[in-house]
Amino acid sequence: MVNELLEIIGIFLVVLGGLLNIIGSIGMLRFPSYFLRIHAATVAVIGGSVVPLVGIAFLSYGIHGSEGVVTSLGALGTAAFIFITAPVSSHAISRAAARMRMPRGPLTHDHLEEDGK
Amino acid sequence: MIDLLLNVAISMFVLSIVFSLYRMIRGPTVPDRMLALDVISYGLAVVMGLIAIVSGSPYLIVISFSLALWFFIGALYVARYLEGEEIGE
Amino acid sequence: MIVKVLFMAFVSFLVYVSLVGSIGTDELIIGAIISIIIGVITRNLVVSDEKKVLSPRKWLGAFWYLAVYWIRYETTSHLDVVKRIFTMKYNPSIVRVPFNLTSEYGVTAVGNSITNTPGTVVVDIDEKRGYYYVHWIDAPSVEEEYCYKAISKGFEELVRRFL
Repeated sequence: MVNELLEIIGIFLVVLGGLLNIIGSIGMLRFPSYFLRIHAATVAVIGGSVVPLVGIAFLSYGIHGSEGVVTSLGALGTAAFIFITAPVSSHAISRAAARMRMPRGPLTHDHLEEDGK
Repeated sequence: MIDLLLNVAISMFVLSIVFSLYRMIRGPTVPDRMLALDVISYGLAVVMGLIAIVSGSPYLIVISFSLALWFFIGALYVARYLEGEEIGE
Repeated sequence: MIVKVLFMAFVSFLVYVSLVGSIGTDELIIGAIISIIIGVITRNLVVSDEKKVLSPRKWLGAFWYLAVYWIRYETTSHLDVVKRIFTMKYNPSIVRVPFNLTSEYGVTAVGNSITNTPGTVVVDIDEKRGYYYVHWIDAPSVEEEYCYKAISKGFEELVRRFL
């Protein structure tokens, strides 16, 4: 009973994450400039990778029982790692993009430009 | 049912990787390519986890962790390289 | 002192167990020895205040942060950005958002929270004047007070509970 519930929660999270990942990569194809694409990439990374990894942790314990504990722990560790480090890498790259004076695309206000950075 | 949905999920992630691959080849600037590589590597990490469930062996999840680690370090290196090439000032 | 060593050893032991691939007595003993060595080496790098590690209120605050962050902020912002991807409506601006935290961990945690929600990305940070520069996909107003209330006020209140 508990295992079936875990399987249902896990597969729901995995399929939801797959949908968000596809939507995020479609957004990366459609948006016109880098600073807009980064929002679509955040959808694909946070909703499309952290959520299904948590789902994999549930699903592995639900399907394989105590043999799947190692996969569960590994998936949870990977999810926590991505949750902590994904904003760091995306912040590093966008700061580099802002400092190399890349065209910032459609912007109504730019306070970074006003402060001379 | 669960097996079918697992296969559907794997094909969804592969489709998303193909879309991002297009953006990575096409992308006009280096940060665009790094963004696409971001989505590709984390999606590949999830695919590794799904294959670990389907095949029932825990060793693939280790690759998923190392893939995330590898991309994080690579992104930091590329960011430092780009800031070194700063135009102006 | 001993708390710092044990905390770092526990974290590295968790990483070791999740990556070793199988759980047997030999692996657990070797992992415990190695993670205590790592804890002794890295004891001063991460933890600065031992009392905070031991207090249960801080740990409850951290769990409260995770629950509220995922259920409220991530859900609403994901729905918002998914709508924008299909309708292609955007009104982006780079806005200044002031922060009132003093510790480096607090500033980093709030910045990571802002970047992790789709729709807002921290582009640059000015530590002397206390500003984040945030690229916001739909900015109705660019006044500092409005942006502070709309973007980072909730995160600061959540982060203050555990840092």
